[in-house]
This record gives sequence, C-alpha cells and structure tokens, in this order.
Amino acid sequence: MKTRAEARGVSSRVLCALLALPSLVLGVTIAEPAAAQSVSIPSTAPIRRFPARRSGLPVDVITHNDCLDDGTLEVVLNLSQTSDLDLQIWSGTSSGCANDDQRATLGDRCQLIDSFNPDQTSHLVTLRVRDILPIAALTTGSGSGSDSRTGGEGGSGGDSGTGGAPPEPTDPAPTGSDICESGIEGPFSVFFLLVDGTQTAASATLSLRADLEGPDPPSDLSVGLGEGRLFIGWGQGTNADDLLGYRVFCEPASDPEVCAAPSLVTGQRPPRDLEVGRAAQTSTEAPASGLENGTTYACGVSGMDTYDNVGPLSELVCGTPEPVQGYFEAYRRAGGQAGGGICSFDGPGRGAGGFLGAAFVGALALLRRARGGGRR
Amino acid sequence: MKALTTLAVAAGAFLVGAPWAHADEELQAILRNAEGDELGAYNRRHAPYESPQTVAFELRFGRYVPDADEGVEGTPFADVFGGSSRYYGGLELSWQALRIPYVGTFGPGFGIGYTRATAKALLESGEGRSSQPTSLTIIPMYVVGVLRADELSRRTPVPLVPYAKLGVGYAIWTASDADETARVDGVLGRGASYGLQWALGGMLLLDALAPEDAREADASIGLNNAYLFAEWYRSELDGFGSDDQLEVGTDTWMVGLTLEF
Repeated sequence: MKTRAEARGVSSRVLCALLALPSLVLGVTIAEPAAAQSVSIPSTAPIRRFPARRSGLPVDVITHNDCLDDGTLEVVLNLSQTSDLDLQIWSGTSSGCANDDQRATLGDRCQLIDSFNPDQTSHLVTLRVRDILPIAALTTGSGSGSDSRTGGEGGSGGDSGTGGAPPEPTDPAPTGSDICESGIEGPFSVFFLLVDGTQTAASATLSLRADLEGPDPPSDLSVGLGEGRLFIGWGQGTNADDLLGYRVFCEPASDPEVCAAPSLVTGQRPPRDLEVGRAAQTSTEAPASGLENGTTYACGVSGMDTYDNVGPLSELVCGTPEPVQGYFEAYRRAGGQAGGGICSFDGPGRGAGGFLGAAFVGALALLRRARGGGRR
Repeated sequence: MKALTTLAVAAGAFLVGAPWAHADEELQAILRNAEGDELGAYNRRHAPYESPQTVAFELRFGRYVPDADEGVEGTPFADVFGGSSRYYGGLELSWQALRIPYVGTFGPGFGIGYTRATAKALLESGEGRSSQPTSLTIIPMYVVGVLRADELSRRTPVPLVPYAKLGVGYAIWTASDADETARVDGVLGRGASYGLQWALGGMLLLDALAPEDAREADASIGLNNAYLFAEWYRSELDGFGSDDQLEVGTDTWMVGLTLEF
C-alpha cells in the first residue's frame, strides 16, 4: 500500500514527464525533481552561439572553428526553489555525471565547469566552448553518449551504478587553444545540477556533439603556374562521407629545394590565415590566388567537412607564379581596340540596350502572334 | 457547286477586309481541298486537316571559329586558342508573317546562340603554356528577314525548301582569365559587336518519311512541318567597317532541325 508521500512522488514524476516532452525535441531532457526544486531548459529558447556561424551548421555540434574562435554558447535555464542551492555545471560523456554516486567514480570523465548560487528564476548561462569540451573523456575512448552503466538521468542519486575506478588519462589534458587541436569527436552532455549540499536536487541535460576533426587530405599533388596564382591539382581525392570541399594553403617556401614552409607541415592542421583557395567536393584542382610573381610558394591541400572542419595538410608542392598572356591581353597587344564593357556609353558596345530591347519586344510579339494563331 | 463555294468564300474574305496574303491562302486552301488527287501518292495538299502555320522554330548547331584575328596585327586568337574547331549551339524563332503566292513565306526572325573558346594562357617567358585558363565567350544574336520558298514542296512531291536570311547581327562577348573577366590597362575584356548577317540554305521536309505521324502531329500539337536543314551562314560583326570592334562573326556551315507551327 502506497503512502501519501509515495503517491505524491508518482504524481510529480508523471507531471514532470509531460513537461519534458517538448524539450526532447531539442535533445534536452529534464530530470525528475526530488522535491519542488527544478531546473529545465525551455524548448522555446534555443541555444545561441557567439560568434555567429554560417547558417546550416547544426546548433548542437561544436566544431574546430567554434573552438579556435573561443566561442560561447548561451543557454536559458528555468529554475525554481533555488534558495540555498548551488547550480553546478558539469560536462561529460556519461549520463552518470548527473548522478552523485556515479560521478564520484567517473573521475575526470565528468568535469566541473562552474558552480554558483543562482538568484533568479530564469538564468542565462554562458558556456565557453573550450571549457565544456570533455577532452579527457573523449580522448580516453570512453565517450559513447548515454552510458549504459548509469541508471538514467540525474535526479537525486539512488540509481545504482557500477562505475568502478576512474580511468587514467594517458596524457595531461591540453589547455587553451591546444584543446582545439585535440581532434576529439563524439557526443557529450552538459549537466545543470541544482545541488543541496552534496545531494543533487534536480538536473537538466543539454546534449551536444564535438567534432573537431577534419577529413583526410588528398594525395598525388601537382602544381601549375599562373599569373599571381598557382593551380594545385590532386590525383587522389578524399573519400570521407562528410567531405564538403577542399582548402588550399600556401606560404612562401623557406627552402624551395626541399619544398618546406615555416607554418605548413604535412599531416598537421594548417593555420587558417594561410588559406588562398577553395574547391568543391568533386574538384581535382583549385587555384591559389593572391600570390606574388617571382616568389616560390609551398602549398598544400586539406579536406573540409560539412562542419567546416579543416583536416590535416597534404604533402607540399612548390611553384613560382609568373606573368602569363591571356587572350584579351594578346588581342590588345596586337592593336585591338575593343573592350570596356557592353553598356559602356562611349565604348563600342553602344546601342546594345536598344538592340536587346528591340529583340525582346520582337520576340514577345512573335510569341503573341503565334499564340493568337491566324488562319492562313 | 464546289466552284461556287470557292468563289463565295473568296469573295467574302475579300469583303471583310482580310489581309491579301491571308485571303489568298484561304483561297488556296479551299482550292487544294477542291482539287483532285492528280499529283501522286504523297501530296500534302490533300492532307485532311492542316492547322494554321505562323512560326518556325530552329535548333541550330555548327562549327564556329570567329574571325577575331581580322583587323589586328598578327594572330592573337589563333596563337592563344590554336586552330582546333569551336562549336556553336543556338535557337531561332521566325514569324511567317506573309505568304507570297507561288514563292513561300516571309517574315522576321530572331536568333541567339552560344559559343566559347578556351585554352591555357601562354607564359610570358615564351616557354609554353601556363595552367591558367583563358577564354572568349560569344553570344551571337541576330534579327533577319527570312524567306522560305516552300511552294515547291507544297505543290510538288519534291521535299526541299530553299531559303535565305538577311539582316543585322549583334554579339556580346567576354574574355576571361582564370574565370574572371579579363582586364588589360584598365580596359574590361567585355564588349559587343554588330554588323551584317546573312545565310543561304535548304531544308529537307521530313513529313514524307511518316505522313500519318505528320498529320497526327499537326492535329494534336499544331506541328505543320518538320525539316532538317543545312545553311551557309555569314556574319560580319565588324561594326560595318569600324576598327574598334572585335570581329566575332564567322562564316560557317550550320545544320539543325526546323519545326513549323
């Protein structure tokens, strides 16, 4: 026979489940409150990102550029009954991070981002991308989204788990912008916990995905000469499923004999400011423009995925742009005087508008006449 | 009785003020239907139904190497693009406004096409070619008067229609380097040229190959006739002798398909 308190607990679980339904659409789950305290992420307030990214990128994916730009996410939390409670923000790959007992056994697979006393019912939380990336968890290979060892979402403990001893990371976790070069990839979560002393009273979870790794580079590179530009070709493209295109990077060669450059290193991600050309997914050549004639450049190509992640650089090829003669230059040098534009008032193209206009009107008249028929 | 009907219709058409050409055609249509089958197995004059015919539509294709080296020193076009063939594709729409008795149709026509020459630019050092593309894109257009002498095919079993076109041609051209419009000493590599345009050709009537299908096409979609054609095409787009225009005209053979509706 259920006690009154048990019955009230069941009712509150049902009510909470109903409230959580809209949030599931955004990949956000709301944990069961143990008492009247609650924390939730309203589905009507999507995550805002700074700096703004190009449209089309999923809002829940953290990319290499987000990290390089030292970007932030803004999340609105709805809170209630928060007096004397702390809001703790954790990130990790295991849902056990929201569970007091399991979190203790997961070690650095759960990392504390921030802890403070929220004094408002609606709180805007700003999360720095570099802070929330669970480097240790994802680099130890244990990140697989919902951890089967945990018994569900947050709440105030009580779920049994078999966490065991926390794994030891093989290397010290990178810091600063080095985090961005960690190459981590996989789902993780940010947990918002309302903590009463040492017990979690309520929690909400924001599901995210880290993808900081770009596709493999193309191979069999070649270089062709142009004026103020080089044409970088490749024989073997990248087979990555998420390949969006290619990026070309060039830098004055430090040693043209062996085709080396100060900042471009095969196998490493190239600096963004050395990008000089782009090509589509199906291309096998890309122009590298904005170069100086007579200077020898070392150039390489990286693949770029649909999240704008640039991958490691290909082998380097060297070339020296030099002056060329295209058709129009050859024509002008041969004494040709034409050019200057079609609608140039003083140019040879005068009258174009009249001709095109008359032709257009004539064509319309023909069509009108034709549609009208006319017995012959 | 037939003769009386014919005369009555012709007189009526005249009295209501129909254009002379149309009245003449009405008369001829009635005469055709009134005549006997004295011209053999295939005689278009005996088609049970013939829809009104007002326009001709052409799909055109041909080799197109512009005379761009005329009026300049040397041969810059040939030097850069070589001597290989370049091709042209285009459309023409003409209104068969008048039917001239015992000759054929006459009316204005408008044509537009596209052709492009591309190559790798020459290295200034003279040591061959670079990897940088250079191109000349031409969009030739023209307004011409078109005379199609189709009475021969209409009155005899000979399925040939000689024709002539004369008018003014106009072409827009763009020279590009590395996929950008070329610019030399501040002058943009884009312009327009105009001049005289003419063509002489012949059309082979295809209706004779499948008379039943031809009649069905006429009844269902109003397609009167289909032809294959070949013509000698000449456009002198030199601004009528001006020396500040890029001569992007040519003389060449064109072939294609003509549909009359």
